[in-house]
Formats: sequence, C-alpha cells, structure tokens
Amino acid sequence: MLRFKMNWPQLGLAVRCESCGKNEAALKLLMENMPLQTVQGHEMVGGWMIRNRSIYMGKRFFDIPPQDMETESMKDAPVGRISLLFPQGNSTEMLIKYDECEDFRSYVPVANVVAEDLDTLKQVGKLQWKSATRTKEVVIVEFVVED
Amino acid sequence: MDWKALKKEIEETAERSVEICPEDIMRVFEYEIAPERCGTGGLMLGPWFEGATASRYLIPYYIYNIIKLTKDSDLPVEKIRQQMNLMLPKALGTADLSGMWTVADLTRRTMACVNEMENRDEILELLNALYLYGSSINAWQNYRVKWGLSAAFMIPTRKELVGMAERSSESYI
Amino acid sequence: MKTFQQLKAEIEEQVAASTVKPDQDVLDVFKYSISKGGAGYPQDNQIFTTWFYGAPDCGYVTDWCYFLVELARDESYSMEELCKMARFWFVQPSHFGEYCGLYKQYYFTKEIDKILDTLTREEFVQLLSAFRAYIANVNVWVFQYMPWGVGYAFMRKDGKYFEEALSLCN
Repeated sequence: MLRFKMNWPQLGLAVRCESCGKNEAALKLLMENMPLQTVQGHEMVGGWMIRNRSIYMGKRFFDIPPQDMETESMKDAPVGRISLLFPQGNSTEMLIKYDECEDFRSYVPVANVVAEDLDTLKQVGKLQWKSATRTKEVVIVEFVVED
Repeated sequence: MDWKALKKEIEETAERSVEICPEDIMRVFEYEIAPERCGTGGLMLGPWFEGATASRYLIPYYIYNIIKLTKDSDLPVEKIRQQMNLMLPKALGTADLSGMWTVADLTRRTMACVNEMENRDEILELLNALYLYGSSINAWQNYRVKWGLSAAFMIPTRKELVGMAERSSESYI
Repeated sequence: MKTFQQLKAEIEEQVAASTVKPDQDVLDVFKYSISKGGAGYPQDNQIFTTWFYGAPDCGYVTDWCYFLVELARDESYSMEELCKMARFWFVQPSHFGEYCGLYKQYYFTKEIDKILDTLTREEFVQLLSAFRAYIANVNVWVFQYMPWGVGYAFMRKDGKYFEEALSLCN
C-alpha cells in the first residue's frame, strides 16, 4: 500500500494518506517527488476543499497521458479524497475534500486521508479557510513518504 | 444533433443578449443568487472572479483561438476536435459551477455537435456563432461586476509609500 | 540569447525561490497594491480591476502551457506549428500580466520567445513545463493575497432572502 503524510507545521497538525486504489501509477510518480513543500490554499468556488495550486515535481517528470488516468468529480468522491488537476511535466494542482462540495469538474483521484484522521483534516480545512478569508497567514504543507 | 438548429438557437440567444442582460448574469452578478454550495462558504467573490474568468476563456479566448488557428494553419477537422476537447472542459466546468448555465449548456451542445460533424466550414460557422454569443456574455459580465468595490483598494502613490515607511515604527505590530 | 539549458535553469531557480516564499511581483501588486506599470491608474486609481483581470490572465498561462505540452505529444504537430501556437496563445496574456505588474513572468515569456524556434520537441516540453511551474507559483501567491474575505459582504442569496426583503418594501 502506498502511504504518505501531509504535515502542516505552523498548525501543528498532520494527516496520514494512502492510495485510494485508483491511478496508482500517478500516485507513485507524485510520491517519487516527495518530500515536497507548498503553500496550502483553499478552493473558492466548488465547496469545502483545500487546494494546492502548485505542486512542483522537480525530481521525476510526470509523463502519464491524461487519457490513461481515471477521473471522478469531487461531488461524487468521499470526504478525504485527494485528487490531482492537470498533472503533467513538472507540476500539478491538488484538491482534498474535507466536507461537502458540489464540484462536478473532473479530477484525477489518487489517495484518501485515512478515516481516523478525517477530523484533523477538517480542522486544517477550517483553519485554512480562516487564513484565506481573514488572517492571510501563510500556511505551508509538507508531503512526506511513509514506510 | 442538427447543427443548423443549434446555430440558430445560439444566434437568437446572442441577438437577445445584445440589448437585454442575460438571466445568468443578472442572477449571479447583480442579485448574488447561485446554486447551493456554489461559492465556498456562500461567498460570491469566488464565483465572480473564477466564473467570469472561465467564461471569458471558454469562448472569447479558447474558441477564438481555435477559429484563428483553423484559418491560419488550415487545421483539419480532427485537430479542431482535439483542441476543443482538450481546452474547453475545465473552463466549461468552472463557468457552469459559477452559475453561467446558458454559456455552459450552449458550449456543451456545440462540442457534442462538432464531435459529430465532418464539414470544416460548417464547424467554423457553428463555432463562430458561439464566439459571438460568448463575446456578448463577456461584455455583460464586465458591465455587472460590482466595480464599486474598487474604491476600497486604492493605489498608493510613491509619496504615500515613503510616508508610510517613514511612519512604520509607529505601528503597534 | 540564452541557451535552452541556461533559460530552463533560470526559470527553475525562480520556481524554487517562489515555492514557499512570496513571489516579489505578487507581493508588490497584491499585498502592497502598487501599480508598477500603470494598470488601474486611469480607472480612478484603484487596484481591484488589475486583480480581477490581470491575475487570472496570468494564471491561465499555466493552462495554455498544459495544452501545448499535451499537443506536443502528438507527432502530427510539427515544431513549427507548436511554436506558432505557443506565440498565439500565451504571449498576449503574459504581456497583459506585465502591464498589471507581474514582470518576471513576462521576462521569461520574452526569453522563451527568443529561443522557441531552436528547440527540439523534448526541449519544448521541458521548457514550457518549467515555465508552467513558475506561473503556478505566481498563481498560488495571487490566491494567497486576494482579499477573499470581501466576499462576506456579498453572500449568496436565495428566494427566502428576497421574499423577506420584498415584505419590507411594503
């Protein structure tokens, strides 16, 4: 089972993530680029999802053609789903659903936050929303492979 | 699907939108009405910012560029379809999610039609009709965005910036 | 004129510099509301229109690059065609981004434009991918500093809201 961790040092919070059984080749490529850091953002239209608008894959070029990857909408995905948007070359976007959303756009699902950590994920989501709409405090997220 | 009927529908919709502001624009930009959960947390700035941009890209930019390239580079039908199917879906989804339903519906049906059409000139006629409609939508969005917000975000002059810097030690934090 | 390797390295350096620390152009325009190129000044000296139009135009350059790299996989497109599409597609929005104060990204666009015709297909993919990664970082900081909280003044409304409002009009 492919596993990694998302860690938000400023918030003192972390969640464990594992493959969702879809697009494992894409997840593998993403994980080959870890450890990774980026700014934690939030979705502003489609609902309660945190969003990383730039994940830089500098170690391993992402070269899986889009037609070879399964897609799904976040509306239909379970809470905790981690999906990619336009993964290609050096970069991808990532969305993580932490509560309800109506977003019917297509994304590439790769992983889930484990069930025991969903409350923590929701906490991160609410804190990031506060940052996006009020405090503007920069929140960094780290991605680390787990053995 | 009858492309001529669709083209006529698009042209009629475009014609109406020349003088009458389309319902989608009134609903979302003027009256701040959106489908439930569209606009995270109920905030309409997201759908305005992202919905207006997506609509502007979807038709006035993407469709325009496909038409331009088709004419300039003699693009064959299969490449028109390839580019259309590659470029449009993300912006289409965002426009739809932001309440631009007619834009999304007409674009979706145009894509379905083009995917079945073989005559390049007819495809261009259909895309051009959509382009004209999309341009009108772009104009109305620009008209209805609540630009009064701008008054809250004034540009500081050099003198003001220097003045602020000189007073920085007075700041509580 | 820079070589492909030099330009790619320069862009990657900027990607690294703007991943967890703010991009300077975005700080200037979005955090400090400075109009560096004059955008917004003729429109009653405000920065909001620059944010509304300039930032997303620049952000969509990431998608133009994505499309170009996808099409580059298709060998039926010649390099000449790909270069022409690149010039059609992202030079204009990138130039507009410059007017809005996002200078660095347009500097890279101009440098890419200079060597575009010399690139192999693989170099084209590598260079646009690196550029896309930089623009994606610019986009991150735009979203970080955009005052989304203003949206609390414009909350979504429904039928009940308007019915209540109507009842108060009588």
